[in-house]
Amino acid sequence: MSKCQRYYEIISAFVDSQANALEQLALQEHLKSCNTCKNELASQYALKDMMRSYQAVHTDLDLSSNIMRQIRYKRQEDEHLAEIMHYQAKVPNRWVALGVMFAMTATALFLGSGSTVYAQKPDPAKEYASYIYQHVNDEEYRSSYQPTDNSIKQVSFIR
Amino acid sequence: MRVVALLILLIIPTIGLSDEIIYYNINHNGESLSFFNMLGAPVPPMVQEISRRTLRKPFMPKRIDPNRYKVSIVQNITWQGMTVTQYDYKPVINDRFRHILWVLPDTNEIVKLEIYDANDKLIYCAICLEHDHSLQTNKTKEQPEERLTAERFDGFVNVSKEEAADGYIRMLYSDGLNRFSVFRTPLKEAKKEAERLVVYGNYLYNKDVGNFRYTVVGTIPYEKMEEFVNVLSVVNVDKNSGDIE
Repeated sequence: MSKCQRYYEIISAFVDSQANALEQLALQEHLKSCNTCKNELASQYALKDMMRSYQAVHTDLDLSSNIMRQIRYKRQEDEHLAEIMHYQAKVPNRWVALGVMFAMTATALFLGSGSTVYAQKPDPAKEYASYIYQHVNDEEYRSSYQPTDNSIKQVSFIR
Repeated sequence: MRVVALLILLIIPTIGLSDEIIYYNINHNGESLSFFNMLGAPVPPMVQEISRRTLRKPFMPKRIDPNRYKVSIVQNITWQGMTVTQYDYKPVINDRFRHILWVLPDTNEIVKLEIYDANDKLIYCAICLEHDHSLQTNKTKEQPEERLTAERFDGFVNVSKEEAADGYIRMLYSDGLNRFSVFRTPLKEAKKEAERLVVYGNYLYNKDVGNFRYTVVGTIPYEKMEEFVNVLSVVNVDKNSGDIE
């Protein structure tokens, strides 16, 4: 196994956040002088990004099961309709029969719409980025430490 | 991910990589994200900026309350061609986070920082091999004296405070090692349940109390954040003296 071959394994583990501290440091040293491994690292990251974007698709890709589900419900709907037609003569009120047909059709359509939405975990970075940025702003931290009088004023919080 | 990066770029002006931070490992939204600052491995601008500001501060052990931490020091460690000193600060009570710092003894510059939360889980790590001294102000070079301030909360000193007429308050607390910021903003939408998040290596806690939303950001446990919010929400702040009544 060539020297770089060994580092390819570490690169793969590193991209998946599985490399331990020693491996990371060894990799870091090796990357300082090896362009081949640098390119390999870049390729692995690009592949990971591509995989992430693939997983973030928002529609149900299983079209075949979706279609079959709709066909099945359509068939059930037709059977129910046939039953209703068969008993239509016995039902004194046609409006009741129509209402039942409508309700059953609506139910069938509702159950038949089998698209699923991939729910992505919300990223708090968008909403709270400004808070973090203000928090790490160290200018006031450093500037607050000025020589003043040494009196301590203890304040107790009301608990 | 691209939308988030674009949004951050719109908020933050151009950021240059003046301090060479070569490695990051940050817990964000429950995920452990690692970045190598090299060609082909893009680092989100917010991650760079957080680390640049965190590691640019010189390490000042005198600011750290010795009653709050148990420290172990290992000197003369050879690492990356440098001689560094390792400081391992473990909190005496599990009400703040453990810090492990690798520091250049001559300049007190931090070359490596690790932060572990109350469950001993790594939430932040960064390695910075070169510091840009032109960015540091004269105040840091002078090693300013410790200032004793009016407000303390369990060993945390109130470092800064901002207020506005509509009730907005922003306060920063630090014990020399761990720090947290509290934001109190007027509530403009429906109240929501308290939130607990991890954002770029910082714990973040949100709670709506009365007509305000309290947001705490920093490296202390959620229980401590909640305790502080509960205290602050029932205490009136005297705007004139800055004292907590």
